[in-house]
Amino acid sequence: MTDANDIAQLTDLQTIRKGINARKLVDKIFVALALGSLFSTLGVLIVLIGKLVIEGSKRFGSGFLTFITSVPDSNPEEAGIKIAIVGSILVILVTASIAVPLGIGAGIYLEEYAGRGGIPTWVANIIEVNISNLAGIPSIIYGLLALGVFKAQLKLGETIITAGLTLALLILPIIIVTTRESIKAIPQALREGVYAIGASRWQTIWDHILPASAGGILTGIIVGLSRAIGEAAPLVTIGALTFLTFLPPVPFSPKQGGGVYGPFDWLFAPFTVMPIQVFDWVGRPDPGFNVVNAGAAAVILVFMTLSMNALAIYLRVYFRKRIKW
Amino acid sequence: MRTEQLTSTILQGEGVSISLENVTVFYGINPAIQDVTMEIFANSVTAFIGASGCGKTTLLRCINRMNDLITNTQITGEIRVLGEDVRKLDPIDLRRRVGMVFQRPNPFPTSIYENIAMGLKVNGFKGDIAEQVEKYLRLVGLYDEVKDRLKSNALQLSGGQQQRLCIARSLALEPEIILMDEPCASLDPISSIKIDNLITQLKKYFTVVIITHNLQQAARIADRIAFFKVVESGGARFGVLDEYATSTDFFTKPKSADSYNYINTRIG
Repeated sequence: MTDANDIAQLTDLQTIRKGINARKLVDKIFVALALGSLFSTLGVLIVLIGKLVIEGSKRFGSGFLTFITSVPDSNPEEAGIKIAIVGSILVILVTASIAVPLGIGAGIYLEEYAGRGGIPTWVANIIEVNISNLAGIPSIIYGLLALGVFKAQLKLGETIITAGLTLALLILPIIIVTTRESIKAIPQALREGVYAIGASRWQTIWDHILPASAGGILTGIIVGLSRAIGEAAPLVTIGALTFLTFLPPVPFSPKQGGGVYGPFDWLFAPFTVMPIQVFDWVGRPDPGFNVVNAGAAAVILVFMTLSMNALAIYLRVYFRKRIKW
Repeated sequence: MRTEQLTSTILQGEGVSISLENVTVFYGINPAIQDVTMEIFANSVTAFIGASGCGKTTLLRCINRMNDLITNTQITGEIRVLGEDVRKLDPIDLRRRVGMVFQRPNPFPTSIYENIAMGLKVNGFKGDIAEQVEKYLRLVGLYDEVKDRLKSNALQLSGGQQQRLCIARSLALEPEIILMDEPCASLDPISSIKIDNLITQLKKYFTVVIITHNLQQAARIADRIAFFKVVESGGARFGVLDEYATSTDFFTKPKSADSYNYINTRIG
C-alpha cells in the first residue's frame, strides 16, 4: 500500500512541476555565477591592457615607427625596441628548434613505444609524472640551472644560444605532455587498422598518428612558445643585457677588421628580449621610460602573445574540422 | 578417404592454413583463453562462435599478433601460419599476409581512394594503384556506389559501406588469410547479407576466419564451426574450445551439451 501511495505522489503533476522549477532555478543561478566570474576575469584583463594602451599611447602615434625601429637610448623619446624584438624572435626561434623536435619525440616515445617493446608503461608513467611536475617549477629555477650548466660548464656565455636552450628546457614539459595527450586521444581502432594493413610502427606514426594529433600538438607548441616569449626571470638569471644597441651579426655580413661572419655567429651574440626591455624601463625613474615606453613595449608584448594564442586556437579549430571520427 | 573417427580427419580440408597448438593467452596473470589446439583449413570459412567473454577475439588477434599492441599480453603454445611460427615472423610481414577486419568499421580519416591506396603504398606496391583500388572496390560491390566520389572522405559513407571499404582495404593487399571480428555486428541486415555473399565468394581466394554471434550467419557462410565456452576453475574464468566440427555436423548433431544448448539458446 505504501508503495502505491509513493508512486501516486511521484506522479502528481504539481509536485513534478514544482521540482522542475526548483531545478531550473539552480540552473539559472549557476549560469549567473559562471557569467559573473567570466566577466570579472575578462574585466581585469581589459582594464590592464587598456591602462597599458593609454600609458603607452604617446608612442603609438606618429612616433610608432621610430619606437619599433630604434635602439635603446638615454632619451625616452628616441629609445626603441628594435633590439628587443629581434632578440625575442631569435631566441624563440632557437627555443622552438630545440624544444619542438625533442618534445614531440619524447611524447611519441612515451605514448607509442613505452609498454610496446620500449620501456615498461609504469616507468613511462613515472617519467610523465615527473615531467608534469617540471611544468610547475618556477621559471627562475630553470635560470639557475642554465647558469650552472650552459654558462658555467659549457661556457656558452650570455648569448642567444644560452637563452634559447634555457627557454627550451622551460617549455619542453608543456610540449611533451600535450603531445602525449593528443596522441592518446586517437582512437585505438585507427591504430589497429593501420597496423592491420602491414604498416610499420614508423609508417603508422608518420602517416596517421601525427596528422591526426597535429592540432593538439601544434596548440601545445604555441602555448609553450607564447609562455617562453613572455619570460624574463630565467633570462635575467643567466645575465641577459638590459641595454644593448647593436643587433646580432647577420650571417655572411662583413666583419669589422676584415672577413665575414659565419652562418651561426649570431647564436653567440649578446641579446635582450621584450620582457627584459620592459623590466628595465619600468625600473627607471623617468616617467618617459617607466610609464610611456614600458607601457608601449608591454602592449606590443601582449599583442605578440595574444596573436600566438589566436594562432593556436585557429589551428585547433582547423585540424578538428578536417579530422572527424 | 574421410573417416569419421577423429575430429581432425573429419575436418580435413584443402590444406592447413593456421595451426594452433596448446595456445593459452594471458592478460597479466589471468588466462583469457586456455589450451586451444585446432587446425584451420585453407580456402574455407571457419566461424568462431560462443558467448561474449570466451576469448574468441583474443584468440583471433593472436593469429596476426594484433595482441602485441596490448601491454601485458602473454601467449604460450604455438601458432603457425602457413607453416611458420608467428613469433618468429616479423609482425609487419605477418599482418601483410593475414588481413584483419574489425568489429566496428574503422576507415582511415582520408579519401575513399586513399583508404585502399595507403595499404598498397606502405607495402611498396609496384603495380597500378588506381587499377587495384577499382578492382577491389568492385569485388566488395562498392565501386558503383562510390565511383563519382573516390576523393571524398571515407567517413561520410554509411556504416555498411565503411565496413565493405575496410574489407576492400584488407583484400587489396591480397593476403592469404582474412580474420574478421564480428564484421556485421554494427550493420543492418541488408548490408550484412551483402557481406555474407562477399565472404562466400572470397573463400575461393582466401582463408577466412570469422567471429560471429549470429548463428544464421555462421550456418550460411561457414564451412566449419569452432564453438568456445567459458569455464570457471580456481576462481578464474577463461574460454576453452568446446567443439570443432563441420558446419553441417555442428548444427545437426552437436556433440557437446553446451553447443547443443548454445544453438538452441538455452542457458546451460
